[in-house]
Amino acid sequence: MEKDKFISVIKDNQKLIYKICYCYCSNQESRKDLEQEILLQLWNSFSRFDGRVKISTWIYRIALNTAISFYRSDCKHSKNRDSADVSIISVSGTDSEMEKDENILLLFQFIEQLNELDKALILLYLDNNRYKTIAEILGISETNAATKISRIKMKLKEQFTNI
Amino acid sequence: MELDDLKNTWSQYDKMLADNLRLNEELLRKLNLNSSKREMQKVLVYELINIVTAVLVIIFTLWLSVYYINLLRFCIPGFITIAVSAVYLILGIIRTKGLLNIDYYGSPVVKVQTEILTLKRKTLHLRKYELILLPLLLLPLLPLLFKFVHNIDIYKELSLLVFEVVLITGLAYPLLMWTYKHFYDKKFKNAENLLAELDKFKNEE
Repeated sequence: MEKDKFISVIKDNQKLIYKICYCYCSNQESRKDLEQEILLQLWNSFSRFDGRVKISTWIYRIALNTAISFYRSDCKHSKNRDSADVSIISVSGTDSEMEKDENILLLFQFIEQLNELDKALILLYLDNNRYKTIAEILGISETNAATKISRIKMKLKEQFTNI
Repeated sequence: MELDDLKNTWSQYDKMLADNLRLNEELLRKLNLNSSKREMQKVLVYELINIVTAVLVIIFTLWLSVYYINLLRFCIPGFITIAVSAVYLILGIIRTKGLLNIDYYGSPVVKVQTEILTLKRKTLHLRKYELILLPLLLLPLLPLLFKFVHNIDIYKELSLLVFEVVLITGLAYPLLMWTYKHFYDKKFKNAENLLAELDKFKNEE
C-alpha cells in the first residue's frame, strides 16, 4: 500500500528527478546509479514526510542533496552497486532525439560548467520556482537567491555574446 | 543568448519530458528499496565497528590487568591501554553521534551539505589523533599479550623489548604519519575548501 503511494508520488514527479540526474551526471551509467540512489533515499524518508512543505520541495531537497553528494564522490557508487540494466525513468526512443537538439545541448553544456550548488540554483530557476521556494529548498535567503541568479545571467551573457 | 532564451528552451524540453517520460513501475517495485549504499551509511557502519572494537579491547585488557594485578609491570601498561582505548571509544561516539544528528531528509540543501562536510572535516581531524595514539595503544598492550599468550615476560627478554619499541616507535610512527599525509590530509583540505565554498554561497548577497 505504502509502496503504491510512493510509486504514485514518483510518477507525478518523475520529470524533476530525471532532470536532476541529467544535470548532475553526463555519463549514462552514473546517471542510472544516481537515479537509483535518489529513489532509494526518497523511499527511506517517505514515511517521515509530514506535509509541512510541498511534496515537490521535499523531493527537490532530497534529490539535490543526493546528487551533490554523489557528484562529489566522483560517481564512486557505480563501482559498488549492481546497476539496473535500464533506467527506471526514461524517455521513449524517438523522443530522446530532442536531447540532441542544438539548443538543449547548449543549455546542458552551460549547466555542466557550473559548480554543484549553482547547478541546483539554475535548475530550480529554470523549473519556474519562485525565489521564495528556491530559498526554502536551498536554505539561503531570497535576496541571496536573486543575486546569484542575476550573476549567473551576467556570466551567461558574457559567455554567449558571440552566439 | 540570455538566461530567458534558455528558459524557453528549458520549457520546450520540460514539455517534451511531460509527454514522453515513462516510469518503469515494475522495475521500481523490483528494486530493493532498502539497499542504499550511501557513503554516510558506510561511514556509520565503520564507526560502529570502531566502537565495538574499542569496547572489546577495554573489556579484554581490563580482565588481563585484573588478572595480573599483583604484577605491576603488566597491569600498569594494561591500564594505559584501557585509557587509550577509552579515548578511541569517546572519539567513535562523538563521530557516530554527529552522523546520527544530521537530518538528511528534512533540511535544506545548504544546511545538509554543511553538516556533512563539517562532520567529514571533524572526522578527518580526529583520525590524525587516532593515528598518533595507535602506537601508544600497542606499546603497552604487547607485553601483556606476550605474557598471556606465550607466557613470555618481555621485560626479561631485553632484545624482544627493544625490538618492540623500535618497531613501533621507529617504524610505525613515520608510517602512520605518511598514511595520514597521503590518505587523509588531501581529503581534509578538500573538505575545508568545499566548506568555504558553501559558506560563500550561503552568505554572499
